[in-house]
Amino acid sequence: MHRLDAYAHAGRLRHVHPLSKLAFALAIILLCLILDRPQVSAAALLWMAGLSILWGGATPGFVLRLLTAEGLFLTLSVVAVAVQIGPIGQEGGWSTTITIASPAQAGALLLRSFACAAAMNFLALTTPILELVAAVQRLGAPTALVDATLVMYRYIFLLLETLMRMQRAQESRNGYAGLTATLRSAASLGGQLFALSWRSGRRMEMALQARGYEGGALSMLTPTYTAPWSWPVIASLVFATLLGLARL
Amino acid sequence: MSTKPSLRRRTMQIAIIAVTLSVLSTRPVHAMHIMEGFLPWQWALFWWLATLPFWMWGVRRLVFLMRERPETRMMLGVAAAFAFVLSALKLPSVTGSSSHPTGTGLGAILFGPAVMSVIGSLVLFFQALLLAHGGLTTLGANAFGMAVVGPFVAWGIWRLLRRRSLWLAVFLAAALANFSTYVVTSAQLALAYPDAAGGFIGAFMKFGAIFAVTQIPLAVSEGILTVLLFNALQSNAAAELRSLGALENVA
Repeated sequence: MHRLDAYAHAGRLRHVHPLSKLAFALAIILLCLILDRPQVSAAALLWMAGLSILWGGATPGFVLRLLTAEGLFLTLSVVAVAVQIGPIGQEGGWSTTITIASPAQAGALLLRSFACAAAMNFLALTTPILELVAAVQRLGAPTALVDATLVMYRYIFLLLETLMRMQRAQESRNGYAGLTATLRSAASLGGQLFALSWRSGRRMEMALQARGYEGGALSMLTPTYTAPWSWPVIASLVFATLLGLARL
Repeated sequence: MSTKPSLRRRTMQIAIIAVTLSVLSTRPVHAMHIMEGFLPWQWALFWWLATLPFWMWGVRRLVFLMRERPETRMMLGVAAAFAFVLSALKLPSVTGSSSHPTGTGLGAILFGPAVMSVIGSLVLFFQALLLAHGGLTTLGANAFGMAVVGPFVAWGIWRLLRRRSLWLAVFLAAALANFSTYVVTSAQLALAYPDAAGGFIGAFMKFGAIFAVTQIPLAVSEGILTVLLFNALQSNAAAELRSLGALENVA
């Protein structure tokens, strides 16, 4: 998680406007879903994984690791599509078979999901989540929600660090040896963390009020975005490939 | 009749493959999410539209709460961060891998289903972008299971049972919230990919069976964890629980 976030902040495409990256990734995902052709999915997968590495600056190993984790989960779901359950013969008994069409359908589905996951990884690897949210706010998202997202982002890292420290302390005292101990440790950890985060949230609210905050958008520094010439060129190249392959 | 033994053998083979696959995927098991690109666009759109009224309801409720009690402004973000981080807790699981609680049941007990529909969706959004788990087009479908149906089930059970037995109410709320999310997700997958011969029912059984290996024990362990967590909250954060109204009318 930290690495994904680090890439988003330090990537080469950081200064491209987040909305154009979001639109690009979403367009690829929608093209894959609507065209629904294996060759389009394969091309999109290669493009997006390639762009994440060559253009976004992520290491190939990390991109592969992300895709492997997603692939394991996907394979499990795809198995269910390849296997068909149904009434067999006249007796009406139910049975499991692999029909000829289903492996092909499952394969196409796996490829499409992979392509879409690669497009989403591209977005996650190049765009810090806060900049994305701030950009969406300008499109008219409710302020209350945007503020919550900003606070949430900050607190995720704070709480995660606290959680890891507590977990390490518990582990060093055999807190996770055996089932009962694990459950007990996890529960007391959750309880402590809740109390801690609640109080720290209250303190932040008070601190903001003391400084005259009366609701409304929390301001944050937005970086200046550039519009590199390569962006529209590469985007249209990707779209052209996908649309061209769809005609085959 | 001669085909029967071979069919039975094949059924066995497939069952073994399914179990092995579930066991082999020893990465941490999160809540059951539909991955990006897995749903056809019509279904993705349908679930977005189905979840939209609940989001609007949740946001309206939040705006009302913030006007009433301004201190809840920060708390929403903090609660959502807590829910996200809670899903990093380790839980023992039969498959040998560690699994993580969803926190849906606890959230519904503490905040009610309207606020939870927003918090749950925020958690899903962050999981998609920070953990590369789940997706944006499938966010509607995932939110419908985890941020709408799960919290409603938990909240209903909690309201129904909290006067009789506190621990049973907490256990069932958390376990069944988790379980109903799994049932909804299986149904969503089955609706999108009905079986050629068995139709929706056949497909539902397939998806249900494949994920049952990880999800049913996960629901039970989340139930137990939430009971212990609620006890811990009562001793550590009783004042906070009371201010949320979570200790009203309890046994």
